[in-house]
Amino acid sequence: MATTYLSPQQLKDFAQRVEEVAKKFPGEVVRIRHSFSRDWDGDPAIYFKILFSDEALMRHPLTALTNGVRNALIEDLALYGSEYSFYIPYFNFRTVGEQERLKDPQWQ
Amino acid sequence: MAIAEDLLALADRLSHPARDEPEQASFRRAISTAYYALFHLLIQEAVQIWSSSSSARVALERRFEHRVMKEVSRAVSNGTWKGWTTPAIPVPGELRSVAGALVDLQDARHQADYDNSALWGYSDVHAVVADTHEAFDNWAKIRTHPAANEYLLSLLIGNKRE
Repeated sequence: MATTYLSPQQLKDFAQRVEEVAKKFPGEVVRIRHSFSRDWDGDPAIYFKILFSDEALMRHPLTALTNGVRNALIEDLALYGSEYSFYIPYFNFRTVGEQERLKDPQWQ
Repeated sequence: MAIAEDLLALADRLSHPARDEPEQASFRRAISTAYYALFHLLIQEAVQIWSSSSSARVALERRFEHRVMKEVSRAVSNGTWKGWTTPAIPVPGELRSVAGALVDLQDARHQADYDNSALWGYSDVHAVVADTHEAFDNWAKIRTHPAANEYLLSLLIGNKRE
């Protein structure tokens, strides 16, 4: 269940901006899902699930991809300098091929 | 620093399980081990500064609490941390990165150790281990910086009260 103090409009804007970040990486990022939740300690958190194309990992080192997308999300959404800074951002990464093998319902 | 580097090397190995080894269990141990590599790197740096005997070091190491370390690191990574010096010492980007890695790794470690419903993929695990390597490299660059020294103090006693 989502845990957030943001208004419906803020949530909508946030989702839109996440989409825009994903579009900055055509060919690499298939989609970015996010959820407002609590982390293991119970602190407010945003979990991002970033799905890469399989080709992306053939073209780029993994760290270049993960750092690029993570930094874009932090900067473009102002995760440390806005109303969103209340939430701790966490980033998870997976390729389409990995997800097809794992069939993880949390990534569907 | 040996135990921290050994743990990081072990995390590397666990993130590449052999065909006959259980993948998910290996990935979970890789993530947990990566967290403890960074945890031990930082607390060993801290106790080296303040203790003079091995027994004193052990006693001091036991005083570090994961929760406090997370709160301090969170403040450093998002720019709200206040050190102990006036005027405040600028925080190098490398230190913010190390602190951010500690926060990320701690949550990943909790999930890897306790959430049996979570599945881990190669990319996620290798990103975690790579982030830990980067944190080690960044720490080596700024370990003598005054802000790094104050960060270590904060890891032990918590964020400065207003």
